Amino acid sequence: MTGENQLKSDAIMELMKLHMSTDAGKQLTKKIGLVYQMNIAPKKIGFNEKSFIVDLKRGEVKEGVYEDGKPDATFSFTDDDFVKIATGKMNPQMAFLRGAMKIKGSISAAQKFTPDIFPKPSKM
Amino acid sequence: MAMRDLVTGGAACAVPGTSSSSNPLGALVNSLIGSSSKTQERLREIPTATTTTSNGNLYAGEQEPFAALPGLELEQQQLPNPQGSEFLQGFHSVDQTGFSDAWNEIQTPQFPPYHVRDGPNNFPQHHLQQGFDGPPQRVLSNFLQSFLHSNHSGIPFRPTSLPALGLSDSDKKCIRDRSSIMARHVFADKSEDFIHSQVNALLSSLDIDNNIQARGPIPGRFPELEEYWKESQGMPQGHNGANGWVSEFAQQRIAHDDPNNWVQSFERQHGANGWASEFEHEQSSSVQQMGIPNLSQSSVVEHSRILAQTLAQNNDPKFQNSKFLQFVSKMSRGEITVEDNQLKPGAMSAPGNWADEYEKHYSGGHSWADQFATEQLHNRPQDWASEFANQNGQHGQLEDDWVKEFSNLNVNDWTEEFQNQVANGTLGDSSAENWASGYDEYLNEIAAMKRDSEASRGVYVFSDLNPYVGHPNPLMEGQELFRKGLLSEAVLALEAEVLKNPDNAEGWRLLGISHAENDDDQQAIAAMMKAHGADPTNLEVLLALGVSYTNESEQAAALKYLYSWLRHHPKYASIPPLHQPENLYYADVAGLFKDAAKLSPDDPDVHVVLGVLYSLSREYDKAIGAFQTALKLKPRDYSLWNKLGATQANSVQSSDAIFAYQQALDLKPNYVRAWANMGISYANQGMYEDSIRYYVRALAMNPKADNAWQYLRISLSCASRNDMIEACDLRNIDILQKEFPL
Repeated sequence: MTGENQLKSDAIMELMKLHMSTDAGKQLTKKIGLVYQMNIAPKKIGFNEKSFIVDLKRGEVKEGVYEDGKPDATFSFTDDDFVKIATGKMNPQMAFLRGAMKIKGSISAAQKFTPDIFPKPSKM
Repeated sequence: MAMRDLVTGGAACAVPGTSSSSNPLGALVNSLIGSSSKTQERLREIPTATTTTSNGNLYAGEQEPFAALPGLELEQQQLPNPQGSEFLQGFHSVDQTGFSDAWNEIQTPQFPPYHVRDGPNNFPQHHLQQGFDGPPQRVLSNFLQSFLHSNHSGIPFRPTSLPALGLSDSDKKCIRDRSSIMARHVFADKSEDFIHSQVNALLSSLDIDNNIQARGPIPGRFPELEEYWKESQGMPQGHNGANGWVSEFAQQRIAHDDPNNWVQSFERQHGANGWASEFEHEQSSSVQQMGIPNLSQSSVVEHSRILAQTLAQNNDPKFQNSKFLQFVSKMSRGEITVEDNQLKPGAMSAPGNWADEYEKHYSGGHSWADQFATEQLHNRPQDWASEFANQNGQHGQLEDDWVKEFSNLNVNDWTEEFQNQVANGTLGDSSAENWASGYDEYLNEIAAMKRDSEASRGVYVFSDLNPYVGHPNPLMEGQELFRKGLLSEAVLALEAEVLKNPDNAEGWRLLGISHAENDDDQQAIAAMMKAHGADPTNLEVLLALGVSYTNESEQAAALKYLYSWLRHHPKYASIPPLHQPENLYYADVAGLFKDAAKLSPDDPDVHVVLGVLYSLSREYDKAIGAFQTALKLKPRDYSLWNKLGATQANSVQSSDAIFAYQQALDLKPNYVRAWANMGISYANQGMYEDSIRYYVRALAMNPKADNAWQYLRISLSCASRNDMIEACDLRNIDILQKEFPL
């Protein structure tokens, strides 16, 4: 683990990945059934982005760009903003309106993107 | 003059035969934009007071639409500017009060009309003509003037028989309404009864049937609109007082000698919201009393379009958001029409149109979907971008990129999709609403963001109203409170201590620990950094910083402090190489710690730090192992149980985590962090109802735990307890506690 390419979002994505194998995670696939791609940039949207696929169809979380077609919605944020959204500190609608979150793809898919998809990190 | 009257196009302002409707404001805009030829026609057609063309001009300013008041033909002043007259066409003779008085005072043509708001007190006697004969309109105006003057002369107005004035029914209606309102203003200091009797007297003289309630308070003038409107809202009806106007008027007249002011102010309308809501309110309430006769739809539409354009040229985002602008836009698109003096929604614009419509009109942020749908939001992105940029000082470049990106959004697909959805009704109500209301919350959020940013920059935020300030020994008090488990109280006492002794490392340290246990990592970090500043060698501080930064996933910072821990440890200081490398690499640091562990395997602290390190790198199994080893050596360390639990929870071993948290709570019942973590573990397992109870318990102990509030909200919505979301937003812990006991 080096210092440069680490994102705070890594922790959340990791948690999400593990979450997928639990019952609660499996519920998500039933409830949502969409594929999201998150492009997360360390400081500024669009620069040095790291992509994650949150595949709520198959119930997987992977790093990288979506290979099997087009994701239902693609989001772009900065690291901090993604963390805020995933932990419910920032409302996705608000983020969009502020320009902190960019969306491509289906609106209805984007609207289903809510903080409760993500499991929350626990604090030591 | 009541803005309301202007805007609603009060009776007797109809000017058939022109393209304008009875909306004098629209007429104003017209005039501003330059269709001045209608002026003369309009003037001629004012029923109540047939001002001749020469009398149409009260005001000389080139853009000042300050037409003569109907009925003010008494005064023979000429206005060179015919355009000005339109503006005042809206003024019913009754409301000439302010104008007549003010006008009398205005000898110079440079006076901005909108400041004409004189109260009766300033009425210069010598201009008043009391004759009750002469042409009907003159009589009427005199009559009305004397009605008003009766106020400041203190003489109750007496019914007078007047020659036939030839007032039409609509005129009468108008007079009736206006006079009652006027009376309330003018006679604000008198009793209701007095007002009534005055009005009755007036009306009976005019042979008008008085059975209508006066309308609400008349809001003030343009820039003063806001304040005035607020004032009037706050006061009981009718007590605005002409006096307010009087004094303002007196103040204002000196200030404004620029004829363009009015127009500029109009266009720079900050009171748009007040005005807007007034307008809306006006329109939506029963308009028939105001009598808008002969409102032709097309003219309304055209007028509102022009009005909308003018207003929309204002780049102030608030202005663009204003409901007024939206309303006017709607009117101009024919979405809302005025029929029979009621507002009716026009034919619902089909989804297919809305994209076009949006392109034409800068509607407010009422629906983000609208915003999605067009790539031609010229002003919008700029506004948002600049607002956003202003809020986040450091994002210099951001706005440009964002704007570019935004305009590159592939919106056409969305447009179609949205249309389809609307047509199919697949757009769930709640989701669409959520997104729509998002923008409305936007502006509120700005304030919240400001608060947050301060804390997140590592600045410690002291509590207000600290009862421990002035305590002789706050540190001891703080320690005692901490021991008892009263974390929030301990925080206050410790704050008092560090306010007194800013270099007290122990005070800051304990403060930091208290915050961490109270589940507030932001404040914990801020306090710990201070402690570190006061004493860079304190191992507990270094460990605590490492933990808090790990919680916040700040890898570099966490590594730095954990490494420092090793360097400053008397026993292990020799392990790290003598010079500290530029960039701490995790692998190196971990290696060092493993060496330390080999050196003294029974030192629980080493294992704890190792555990934290492994958590940082998300090697959860190793972390769990390290913590368990430490726990064997230190089984009654509640904080260690919590660390174990958190690590287990983060590796999604939720049931184990709950067990560990329970151990921690047995050891320290007021451990807010552990309560919150419990909630998280339940929520992550989808057991939302349970999680709510734990969050509420945590919040009951520390209402400042922001994280917990956010999580509670999410759980409430997942558990479909939307009824409690409001209580959550209002942070009403009492209600929540009653509803969700443990």
